Amino acid sequence: MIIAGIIILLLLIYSVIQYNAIVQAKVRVDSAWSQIDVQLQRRMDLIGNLVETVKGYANHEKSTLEAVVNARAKAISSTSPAESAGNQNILNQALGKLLMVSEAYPDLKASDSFLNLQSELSNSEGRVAYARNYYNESVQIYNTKITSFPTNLYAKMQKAAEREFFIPDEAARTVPKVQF
Amino acid sequence: MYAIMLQLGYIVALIAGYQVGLGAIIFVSVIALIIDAYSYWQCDKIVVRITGAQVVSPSEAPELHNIVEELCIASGLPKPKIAIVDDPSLNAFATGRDPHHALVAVNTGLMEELDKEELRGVLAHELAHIYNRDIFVNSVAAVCVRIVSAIANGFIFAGIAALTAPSAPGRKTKEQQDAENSQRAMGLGLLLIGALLAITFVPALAVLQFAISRTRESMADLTGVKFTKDPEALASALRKITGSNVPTYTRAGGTAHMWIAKPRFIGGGLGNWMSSLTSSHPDPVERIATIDAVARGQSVDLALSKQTQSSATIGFAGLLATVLVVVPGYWVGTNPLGIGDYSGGYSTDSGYDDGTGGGGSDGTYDDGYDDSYDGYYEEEVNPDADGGLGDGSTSTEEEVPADDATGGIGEGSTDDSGDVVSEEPDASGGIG
Repeated sequence: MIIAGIIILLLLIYSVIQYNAIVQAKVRVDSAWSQIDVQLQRRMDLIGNLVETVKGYANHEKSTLEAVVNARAKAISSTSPAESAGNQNILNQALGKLLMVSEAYPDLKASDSFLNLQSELSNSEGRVAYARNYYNESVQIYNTKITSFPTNLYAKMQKAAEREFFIPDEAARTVPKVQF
Repeated sequence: MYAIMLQLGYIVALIAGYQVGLGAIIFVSVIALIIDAYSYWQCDKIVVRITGAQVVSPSEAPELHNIVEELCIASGLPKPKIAIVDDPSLNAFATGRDPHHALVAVNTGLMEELDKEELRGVLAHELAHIYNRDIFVNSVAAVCVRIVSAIANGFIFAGIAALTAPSAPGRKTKEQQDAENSQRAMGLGLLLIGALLAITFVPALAVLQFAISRTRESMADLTGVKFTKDPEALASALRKITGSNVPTYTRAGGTAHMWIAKPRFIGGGLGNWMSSLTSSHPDPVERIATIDAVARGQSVDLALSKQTQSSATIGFAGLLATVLVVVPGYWVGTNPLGIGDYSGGYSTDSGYDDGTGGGGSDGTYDDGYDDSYDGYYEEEVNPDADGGLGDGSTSTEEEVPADDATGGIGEGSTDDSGDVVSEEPDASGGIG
């Protein structure tokens, strides 16, 4: 009788711990995603400033500038990790083109604000990459937890669903980096 | 500082007899634990004071702050305080009781000699220490070793004290002689236990402590690489750090495990002579090899070395042997802990307490004595039963100034359990 009680008690404690571990892993994924959001937001601001700066020197590169502006708007409005990653790739390609075009404008290339923005943008690239690593690791821990036995039983109790990884297109991502 | 206090406790144990000494050792050990807890709690501030590190703001060291911010994003840690130590040697450390009170410090030499990627590798290693809670792990390991060695030393000193305690003066009854012999036997037992612990378990624990420190160091390398995804940078930083011929000197040996590279101790001596068994850091060549293996995608094994395993085995065998000595010794009647024989029998007697409570005048004392001990004497010490009353009363009359130290067996032991042990005669009389 007592032994049965102890076993039930231990099972209860184990369940609470496992249940909370899943909650914790989920919170970590959410906070990692918001960290990506923060870093992407900073990058969007920098790109907006870059567009304004380039406009001042090379206003007739309208199509290139517009491509960046549109891609940026789309990237900001994206909601899911997969959508965001795809839109970021489009933005990166447009940005790469813009920076290539800027090569033809010596005044622009020599301006302080442009150089400053370029270095900040490269810095921001790094931070987005770090935030992405952390997010993907968090997702991996979380997904493993909610799909493996017996923790998947507790995941079902709180209707925990698998999360998406944030996977950028490597080739597209490196384009702006080459420029710096 | 409390090492000195502990030694004082042992000396008190030698002079004042083992019971007072044990009390002193326990008291000092508790104070030492409190100091340990306090220095762990305040370790970021204390270490900054010891090393002379200067906390820097983002405007003072923008590059350093930038790297640490990136790594915090990569690790999910809150941003620690950042400090610079004005020291030409290539070294860095992390401290703080938890991630919210962490501090990362870098020597000026490191900032000059390493490029940005290498510096990032080193800072990631330091943040990994915070991430893995290594400051806590190392503190707990150190405290465990200190407690066990204090216990072992306490046994040894208490044993010596019991063996060398002066025997009660004057004529002795058979019971007194027996009790004194039993005290000597107990002293020998304590000494044996202490010595066994001191030569086996304590060194083994110390070796384990260093092994833990080394393992956490390698773990921090790998965790750091996980943050940066750049094992080559850390390997090349470690190569530069190892190749540097400017050693870090530290005044505080206890902080050795925090640095990325093993510091040397001011004044040289034992600290610099440490073998691989008692090193706070793994061999740098092995560390670099491990990181390179990770860079190639191989899995690595951070198991304890053969030496560490065997010394730990010896240590636990010693502990087992100690237990095997204590338990039969206790049952056979050596009674190494000196409890349960005399004081146990009397202290359960509640009548005596009433007697001493009002025991100012001889009359009440005698009354209490009579009431409570009649039954006991009849049962246990039959020959004394008739004269018990007389003996008891005469001895109290005679030897009140001597604090009853050499009274009958009954009296001596009841004193022990009734009064708090405070003086030398009492201590030896308690057993006799």
